[in-house]
Amino acid sequence: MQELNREILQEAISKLPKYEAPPSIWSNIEEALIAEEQDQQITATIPQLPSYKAPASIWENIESTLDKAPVSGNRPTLFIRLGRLAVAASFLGFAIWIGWQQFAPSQEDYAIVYTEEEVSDFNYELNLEEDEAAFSTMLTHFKTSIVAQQHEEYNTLLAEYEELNDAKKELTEMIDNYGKDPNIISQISDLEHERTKVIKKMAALI
Amino acid sequence: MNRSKVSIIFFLFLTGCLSLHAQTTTLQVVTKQIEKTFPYKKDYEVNIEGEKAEVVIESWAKNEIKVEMDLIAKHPTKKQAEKDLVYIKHQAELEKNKIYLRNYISVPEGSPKPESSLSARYTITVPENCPVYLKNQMGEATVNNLSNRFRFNGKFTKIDLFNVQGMVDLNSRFGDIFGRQIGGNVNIYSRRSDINLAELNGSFNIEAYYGVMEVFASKDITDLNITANHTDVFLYNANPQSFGYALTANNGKINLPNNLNVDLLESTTDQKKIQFKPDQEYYPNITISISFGNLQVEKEKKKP
Repeated sequence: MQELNREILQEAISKLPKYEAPPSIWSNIEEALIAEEQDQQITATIPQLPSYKAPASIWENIESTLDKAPVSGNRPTLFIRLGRLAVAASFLGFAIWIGWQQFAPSQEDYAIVYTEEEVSDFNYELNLEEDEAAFSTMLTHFKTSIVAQQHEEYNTLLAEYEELNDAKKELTEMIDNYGKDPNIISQISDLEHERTKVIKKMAALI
Repeated sequence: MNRSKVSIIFFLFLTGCLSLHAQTTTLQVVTKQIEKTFPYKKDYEVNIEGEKAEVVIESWAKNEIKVEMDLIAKHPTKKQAEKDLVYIKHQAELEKNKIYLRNYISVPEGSPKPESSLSARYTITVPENCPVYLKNQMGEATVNNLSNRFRFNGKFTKIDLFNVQGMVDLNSRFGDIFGRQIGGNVNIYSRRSDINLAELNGSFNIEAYYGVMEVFASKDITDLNITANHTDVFLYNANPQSFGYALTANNGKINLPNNLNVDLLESTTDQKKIQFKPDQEYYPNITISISFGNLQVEKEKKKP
C-alpha cells in the first residue's frame, strides 16, 4: 500500500520521545534465549534414552498400600496440614482481636451542645495600667534607697513584689486567651491588694 | 388607694423590673462534649494538664479510665461562641504508660483573639489505685477516693480532696487546699494559698508561705511537720496533751491551751522555742516552725 502522508508520518515519528531500555532487559532476554536452547536440546535427547518396564509386583504393592486405611502417625497430607494452618491462623487472629479490644482505647466521641446562661453584668474595664507608673516610681526609689537596702526585709520585699508581678502577668495572659472572666478579674483584684500592701511597706522603709 | 397611687406603684414596679433586666446578660454557651475510655493496666498513670479548667477526679470498681471533657465557649452571640470554641484544643491520648489529657488555646497567627469566655471541664473516673498527676492553671479541682499516688501542681486553683491516701504531693500557688480524710505520706508546698485539713492519718510535711493554715490533727497522724513563713497556723485537736510538740516562732506569737504544761526552751524578743512530751511511751510528734506569723494551738470544740 502506498502511504500518502509518508513525510508527515516520518516527521511525527522523529518527534516521538526516545527511551533507553534498562540494562536488566538485555540480561533477561539472554537468559530466556539460553533456556529456549536448553529445552530444544532436552526434546532432542529424550527419544535417545533407554526404556525400562517396571515388574508387575511393583504395581500390586502400590495397589495394596492405597487400599489400606491411613494409619495415625503417618505424615499428614498437604490438605490436612493446610487445614491445621488455617485453624491456627484463625485462633491467632481471634487472640489479636481480643487483645486489641481489651487494650485499645475507645474511639473519641464528641457532641456539640447549645445552652444559654444568664449572668450578671460586671465592669469589664480593668484599668490595669492606671497605677503602674506610681508603682514603678516607688519601686525605683526603694531599690536605690540606702536606708531601705540596710533593712532585713529589703530582699524579701523585692522578691515578693516580683512574684506578685509575675502572677499578675500570668493572669493578664489568661484573660487574653480565655476572655474576661469574673473569677480571673477577682484574682487580679486580690493581687492588686497584695501588691499595694507590699509597695506601702516599701514606701515605709525608704 | 386612689388611682394616682396605683399608677405610681405600677410605674415603680415596671422600672424596677426593667432595671433588674438590664443588669443581666444572656450568654450563648456552646459546649464540645468529648468522651473516651481507656483500659487500665497496672503501671498506667493519668496525667492531666488543664488551663482554666474545672477538674473532677473520682474512682470506681471498673478496670477502666473514663474521660469526659467539655470544652466551653460563652458569648452573647452563638456565632462568635462557635467560632472561638475552635481555638480550644485538647489531647486525650495514651503514650507508653501515661494517659495524657490536656487543653490549651491555639489561635492561628494573624487571626483575631477569641472574644468568648473559654473554659474546660474534666470528669475523670479511674480505678482507685491508678496514680494521677494533675497540673492546672486557674480553675477548681475535686479529687475523691484515690489510694495510690496523687500529685498536684496548681496555680490559681482551689483543690478539694476527700479520702485521698498513699503518696500525696501537693504544690499550690495562689490557690487553696481543702482536704478531708487525707493520709499516707503527704507533702504539701504552698505559696499564697490557704490550707484547711481534717481527719488526717499518716505522716505530713507542710511548707507554707503567705497564707492561713488550719489543721485539725487527729490521733491517727504519726508525724506532722510544718514550716510556715508569713503564715498564721491554727492547730486544733480533741486532746492536745496526747501529742509531743516542738514549736518555734520567729517574729511571731505562740498561743497554747492553758492546761498544756510546756517547757520553754528559749524566749527572746524575736524567737520562742517550746517543747512538750506527753506522759506516754508512744505519741505522735508535731513540729512547727513559724516565721512572721502566729501559731494557735486549741482544743477542738466542734467538728470542722
